[in-house]
Amino acid sequence: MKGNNIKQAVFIVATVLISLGLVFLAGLLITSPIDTRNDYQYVNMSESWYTFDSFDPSISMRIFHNVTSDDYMNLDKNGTYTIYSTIPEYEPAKEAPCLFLKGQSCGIQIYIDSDDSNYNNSENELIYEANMDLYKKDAMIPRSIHFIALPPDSQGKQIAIVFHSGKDNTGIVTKDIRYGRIDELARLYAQSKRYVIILGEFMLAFGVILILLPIVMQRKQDIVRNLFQGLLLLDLGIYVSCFNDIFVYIFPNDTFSITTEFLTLLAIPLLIHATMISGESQNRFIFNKIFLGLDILILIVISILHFTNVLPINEAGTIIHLYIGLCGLYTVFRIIYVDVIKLKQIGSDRYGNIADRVINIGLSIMIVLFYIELILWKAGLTSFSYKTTDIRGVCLMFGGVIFIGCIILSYFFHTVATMRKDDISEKLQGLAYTDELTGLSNRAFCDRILEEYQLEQKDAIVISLDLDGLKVINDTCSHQAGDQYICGFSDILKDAFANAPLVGRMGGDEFIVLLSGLDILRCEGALSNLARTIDQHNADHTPCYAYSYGYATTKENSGSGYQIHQTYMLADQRMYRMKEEHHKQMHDREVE
Amino acid sequence: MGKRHILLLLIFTVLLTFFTDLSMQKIADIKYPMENLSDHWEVFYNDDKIGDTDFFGLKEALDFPVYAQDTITLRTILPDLGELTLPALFYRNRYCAFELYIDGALYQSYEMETYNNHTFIGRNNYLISLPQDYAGRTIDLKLYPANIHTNRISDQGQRGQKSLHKANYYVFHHPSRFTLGNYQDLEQSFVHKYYNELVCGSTLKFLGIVFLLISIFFSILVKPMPDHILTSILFILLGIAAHSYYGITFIFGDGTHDTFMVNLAIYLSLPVALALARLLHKPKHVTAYIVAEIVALLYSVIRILLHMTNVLYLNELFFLTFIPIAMIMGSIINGYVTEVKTKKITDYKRMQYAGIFFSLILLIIAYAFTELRFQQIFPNTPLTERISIELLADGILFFEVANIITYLAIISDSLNQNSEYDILTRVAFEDSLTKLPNRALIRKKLSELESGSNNYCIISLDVNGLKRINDTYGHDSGDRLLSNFGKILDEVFHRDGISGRIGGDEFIVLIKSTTVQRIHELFQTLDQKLQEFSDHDEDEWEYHASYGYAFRTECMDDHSTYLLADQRMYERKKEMKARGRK
Repeated sequence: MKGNNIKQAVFIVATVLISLGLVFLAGLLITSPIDTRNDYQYVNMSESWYTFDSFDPSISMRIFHNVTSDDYMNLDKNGTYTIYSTIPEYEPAKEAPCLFLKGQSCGIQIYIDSDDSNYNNSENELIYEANMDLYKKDAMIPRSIHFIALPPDSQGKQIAIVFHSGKDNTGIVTKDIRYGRIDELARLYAQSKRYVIILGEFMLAFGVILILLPIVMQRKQDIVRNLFQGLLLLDLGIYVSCFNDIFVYIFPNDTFSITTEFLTLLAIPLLIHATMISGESQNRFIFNKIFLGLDILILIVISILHFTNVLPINEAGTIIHLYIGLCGLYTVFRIIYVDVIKLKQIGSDRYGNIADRVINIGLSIMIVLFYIELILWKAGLTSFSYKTTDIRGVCLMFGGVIFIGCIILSYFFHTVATMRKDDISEKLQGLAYTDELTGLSNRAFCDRILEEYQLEQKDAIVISLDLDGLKVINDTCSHQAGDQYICGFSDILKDAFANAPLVGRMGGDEFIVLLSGLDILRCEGALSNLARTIDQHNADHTPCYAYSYGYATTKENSGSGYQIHQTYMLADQRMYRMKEEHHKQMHDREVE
Repeated sequence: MGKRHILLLLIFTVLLTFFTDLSMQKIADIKYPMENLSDHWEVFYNDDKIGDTDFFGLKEALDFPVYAQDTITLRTILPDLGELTLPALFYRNRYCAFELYIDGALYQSYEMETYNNHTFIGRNNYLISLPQDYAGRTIDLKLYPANIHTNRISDQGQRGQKSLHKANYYVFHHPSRFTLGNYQDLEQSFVHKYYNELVCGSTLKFLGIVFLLISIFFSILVKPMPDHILTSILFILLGIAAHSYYGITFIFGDGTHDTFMVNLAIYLSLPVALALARLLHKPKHVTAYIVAEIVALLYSVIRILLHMTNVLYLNELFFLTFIPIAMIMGSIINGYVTEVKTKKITDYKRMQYAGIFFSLILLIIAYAFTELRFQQIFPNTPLTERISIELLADGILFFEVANIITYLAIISDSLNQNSEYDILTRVAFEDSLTKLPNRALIRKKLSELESGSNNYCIISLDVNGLKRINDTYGHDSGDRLLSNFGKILDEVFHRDGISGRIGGDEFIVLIKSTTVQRIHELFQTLDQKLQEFSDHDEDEWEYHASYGYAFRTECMDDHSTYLLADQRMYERKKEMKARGRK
C-alpha cells in the first residue's frame, strides 16, 4: 500500500515534468501558424561586413578581413572595432531605410561615406551616435538594441560602424544586423522575442498575484510561504525579461534594465534559499540559514560597489556566477537528500507530504538548469534561435516553468490528500466515536452529545443502565465470555432504543440512553419493552442478563437552570438504588 | 473565505488594473511629439468627394450603406511635428482592406489579397513607417470595406444588395485611431496602454496550459477532476480573448486573425462555462443541463463553420450569444441559492461561483460601456477609453485570481488539516484515559505481527481491585488507578513492545522477538514498579495486577495465543486471590 502510493506519486511528478518540458520545447519550436508571420521584408546583413585587422607596422598596408556571422570579436576596455559595408539597394526600404543593430555595452558611432572608393574615415558623415556620453564618462554602458534611421538617399554608399567598448570582455558579432523599414524590423524583432514576452509576463504576474493574494484575502498562514515563492517568480520573470532585452517594453530605460538584470540575478539564490526555509522540510537546517545570510550580504556588497561606481555590476558577472555556483551545489545536494532520498520516511499522509517536497524538487531542478545555463554561457552558447524565435536564457526560463508546474502540482497533491483525508476522516470519526466492542457510541461521543444538549438546552430524558453480574462472569469464565455478555446486552439495548438520539456505552458495564423530549410514558414503555425482551432471552439462553437502570428528565432538577449532567447523575443515583434493591433481593433469596 | 473576501477580491482586481495603468503612464518615456490626426479630413466615396470634416464628423459623414467593391477614401495632410527620426502612422483598421497613398502615389497596401478572395477581414492595428520628410505631405487612406456577403451578386456582376452593418467599417472610436509620431514612441504607448491585457493574456494562456496538463494527468491517474480541466480550458480561451480583443498580437506577430480568434474564444467558452457551472452545483436534473451544453456547443461549432465558409461571420448576430450567457448566469444563481439553502456551500465553492459570476458581469459591463461610447451616449474621451480597457481586464483578471486564490486556499487548508487529521487519528487509536493504544490499534498491530515471520509474545494483564475502588471511592478514583497503571505499563514495556488497553480493566502487551527470560525480567520490573506506586500512593491504594503470557509459537493463531495468555492470567489471578485469603 505504502509503496504503491509513493510510486504513483513519483510517476505523476515525473510524467508531468517531462510533459511540461515537451510543451515548453514545442512552444519554442513550433510557432503557431495563426499569429506568426514568416514574410518579413528585410535584408539580412550578417555576412556583408568587412574590417581591417590591426596592422603590422612593417607592412604599409592594412589587412582586409571579411567578417562572417560566426566571427566573434572580443574587446577590452576602451578597445575600438570598426566594421564597414555597403548599404544595400532594397526597394521596400527606399523611402524610409533603417538599420537594426545590437550594441553590446558599447558606445556606437555610425558614419556614412559619400565617396564609394574611399576607405578613409576623414570624409565621413556621422549620422548616429549612442552611449558615447556614458563612454566618455567611463560609466556603465548597458546592452541595448538600436534602430538607426539612415538618410533616404544613402543606398549604395559606404557605412562604417565603430564600437567603443566600455568594459573588458565585450563580444561583438554581426549576426543580427539587418536592413529594411523600421516597421518590418521592429515587428520581426518583437516576434523573435514573443515567447519570452509571454513567459516573462507570466512569471512576473503570477509572482505578483502569489504575493498579493494572501495579503488581500487576509490569510495569515499563507503570507510568508507565498511571499517567497511569489518573489522568486517575480524575480525570475524580471530577470528573463531583462536578459532578453524586452524589459524595455515596460521601462524604456536601458541602464535601468541592465542594472535590474544583475540585481535580479543576484537575488535568485537568495530567494531560493528563502523559499526553502519557509517550507517545512528544510526549515531546521542551520546551513540553509547561513547561506541565506551570505546571500543577503553579497547582494548588499555588490549593490554598494555598483552604485558607488567602484565595480559596475555588469563586470561583476564572474564573481556572481562563481558564488551562485558554489552555494547552488550545496542547495541541490541538500534538497536531494532531504526531499528525495528521505521520501521513504513519509508519514501516513503521503500525498500531502509529497506536495510540500515537490516544490523543493522544483527548486532544485531550477538550480540544476541554472548551472547548465552558466556552462552554456561560458561556452558562448547564449541564445537559442529557431526560425523567428530568439531566446537567451532558455534553461532558466524552463526552470521557471518547472517551478510553476511544481507549485500547481503541489496544489493537486494537496487536493488529493484532502479528498483522501475526508474519506479517512469519515471513517476515523466513526472509529473515534464508536465503542469498538459493542458498536454503540463510546464515551467520547456521549460526552459530546451531552455537551450539545447542554448548549442548546434541549429537553431530554437520560436513562442510566448498568449490567449486573458482569464481574461474576469475568471471574468465573474468561474475558471473552465477559465480552460476549456485554455485546449481547448491547444488541438488545440497541434494538429496544433504535430511534433514540443516543445509545452509548460509558464504560465497563455502564450504558446510557438519551431520549429527546419529556415523554415519560414513552420512556417507560420502551423500558418495559426492554425488560420483556431480556426476559424472553433469559428464558432460552445462558447467561442471563441482569441489569439495573434509572432515569431522569432535564426538567426535574432545573431549579438552578438546565444542567444535563445533573440529570445524568440523578439517573445514575436511581440506577444505584435499583442495583441495591437487586442485591438485597438476591441476598434475601440466598438467605432463604 | 466568505462573502467579505469576494468583495475584497473585486476591489483588489479593480485597484490592481488601475494601478498598473497608472504606473505605465508614469514610466512612459515618449521622446518625440505625437499627435492624433483629428483636424481635417476630406471624404471620398468611390472617388467622388462627399465631405470635408474633422475626425468627430466622420461618423456622420460615413453613415450610409455601402456595397461590394465600393471604396471610401480619407485624405488629410500630415502635420509638422518637427524632426522625427523614424516617423510612423498608427492606424486601427476595421473590416477593410486598405491602401496608403502619399502625395497621390501608392505607398503601402494591406489585406488586398484577402479582399480579392472575398474572405473575412477583421479588426487589426498597423504601425506604418513613413518617409522621413513626412511633414506637409498628403496621405490618402483608401478603404475597401470587406465582409459584404457577395452571395447575391448575379452573374452579370451586379452589386450585391446586402449592405454592411453601419458600425462595421468606419467607426473610428477615437482619434487615436490615427496617430502620427515616432515609431518607437507609438509602439511604446500602445504596449503601455494595453499592458493589463498583455499581462492577463500571457498569464492565462500559460497557466491554462500547465494547469490543463496536470489536471489531465491527475484525472487519469488518480481521480477524475472535470471541473479543473474545464477551468484550465477557460483560462486558455480567456487568455486568447485578452490578447486578441484589442489586437495586441500585431506587436509581436501576425494580428490579422485576431478578430476571428477572439470570437472563437468567446463562442467556445460558452459551452465550457455552462458545463463548469453545472459541475459546480451538481443539479438534480443533469440531463437538461447537458442538453443545453450540447446545444450551445453545436451552435458555436456551426457558427464557426459558417464563418469559415463566409456565409455568416462570427461578429454578426453577436447578440445571440447573450442567450447562453444568460443561461450561465441562471445556472450559477440557481446553484448558489440552492446550496445556500441546503447549507452545502463551502467557502471554496462560493469563491468559484463568484469567479464565474462577477467575471461575466464585469465583461458585460465592459461590453455595454464600450458600445455606449461608440454610440456616443457616453462621451468618447481618452479617459472613458481607459475605463473600457480596464473593465475588460478586470473581468478577465477576476476569473483568474478567484480561481488561483481557491487553489492557494485548498493548499494551505490541507496543510492545516494535517494537524486536525493527526488529532483525529489519535482519538481513533488512543484510549482517552490512559493514552495507550486502544483496542482498534492493538488489533491493527496484532495483525501486522501476525503477517510477519517473527515469533511474538502476548501478555494479558488485569488490574486487581478496580471495582472495589470504583464502588468505594467513585469513578474518578478508578480512573486515576487505571491511568497510573497505564503509565506503569508504558514505562516498563515501551522499549520492548507496545502496551494497550482493550477493556475496562484489561490491558495487553505485544512484544516481538523476545525470550522467556526477558519476559520474566520484565515481570519483575513490573512488580517492582507496582510496589513503588503502592508505596507512594497518596491514598494508600494497593496496585496489583494479574498477568499471563503466551508465545505465538505455542498456538495455532493469534486469537488462540491471546486466549492462552488470558487463561494464564486468570489462573494467576485465582492463585493471587487464594494466597491473599490466606
